[in-house]
Amino acid sequence: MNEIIQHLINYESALLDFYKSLESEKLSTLLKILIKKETCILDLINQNKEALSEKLPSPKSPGLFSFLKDQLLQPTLPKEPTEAQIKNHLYLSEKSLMFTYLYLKEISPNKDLYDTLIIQRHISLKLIYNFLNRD
Amino acid sequence: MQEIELKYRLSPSDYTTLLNFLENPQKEMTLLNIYLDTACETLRTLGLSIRLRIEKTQNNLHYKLSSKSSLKRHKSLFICDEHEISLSREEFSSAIDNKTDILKKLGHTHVHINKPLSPIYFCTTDRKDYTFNQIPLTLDQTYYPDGFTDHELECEFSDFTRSRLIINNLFSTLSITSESQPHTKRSRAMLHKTSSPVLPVIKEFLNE
Repeated sequence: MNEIIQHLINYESALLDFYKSLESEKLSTLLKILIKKETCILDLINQNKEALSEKLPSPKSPGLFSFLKDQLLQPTLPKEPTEAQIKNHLYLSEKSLMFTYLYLKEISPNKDLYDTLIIQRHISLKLIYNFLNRD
Repeated sequence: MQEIELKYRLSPSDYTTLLNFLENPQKEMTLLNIYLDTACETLRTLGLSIRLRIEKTQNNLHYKLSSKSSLKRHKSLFICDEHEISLSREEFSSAIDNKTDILKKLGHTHVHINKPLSPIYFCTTDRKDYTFNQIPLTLDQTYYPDGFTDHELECEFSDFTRSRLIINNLFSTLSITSESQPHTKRSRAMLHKTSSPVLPVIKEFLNE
């Protein structure tokens, strides 16, 4: 398995833990859906990690790994964040992952698999976007 | 022209879930669908459906005449031959009054019927069009003369695999039960017809 995929698995797992750790009465419906989605996404990546790794360059290749590091935000928030900070952070985390998958789709021969991940992210983003604009 | 689309029947609560998820439609309109046939439904026997439609948007009214034939379906996938033309208000009235050779106008010159065509079923649809993930999605809420209302999601796609993938993902995320639409709108209009005449409905629809 390519190290980039391992890095993504770690990131997605951290994001799942992050969602689980969030306590917000107002966002409980959204978080429930996001946790369910994130679990499915992780299953999908774990079941297809070899196919997803195919033809991906070494993370040591110049540019790519730093690109990923720049794209993927660390899922951390200030202590006692506000609802707005949580929603904004969720949106940025999902968005950074979507851009990462869009980038990897371009270089991977398994475009359908990456497309599925992109669609999943797109749906999560829309859900968060709706919540962001509801209040 | 061949019309290829995915159609899903939705429960009222699943329709509301999708409505809330998709938000802000690109286009909204109300449609009055009037199906024409002979009194003994000769066209239906021939597998041909003729529809007159008024599309009402916020500022405009459009009159259309269409035919659908050679319907094939597999689960949620519907394929048929469709021919649609725009009409003027006068042409629409003339078609309703059976003063036009509708079949000829639609190019069905091989179909010969001896009895007049008249409106036999109708229904009204509130339609909302969206684009999600680059695929077109349409949400319909349809009202029938007997008081029945139903809901469906349609997708007139250009890429079947991708569209189905997106819809399946959407349904699973939003916990929507995926149910193929078992009937066309025409069949549902037939199922929920009453003896009420269509002309007053058209007048009411046009706020006359």
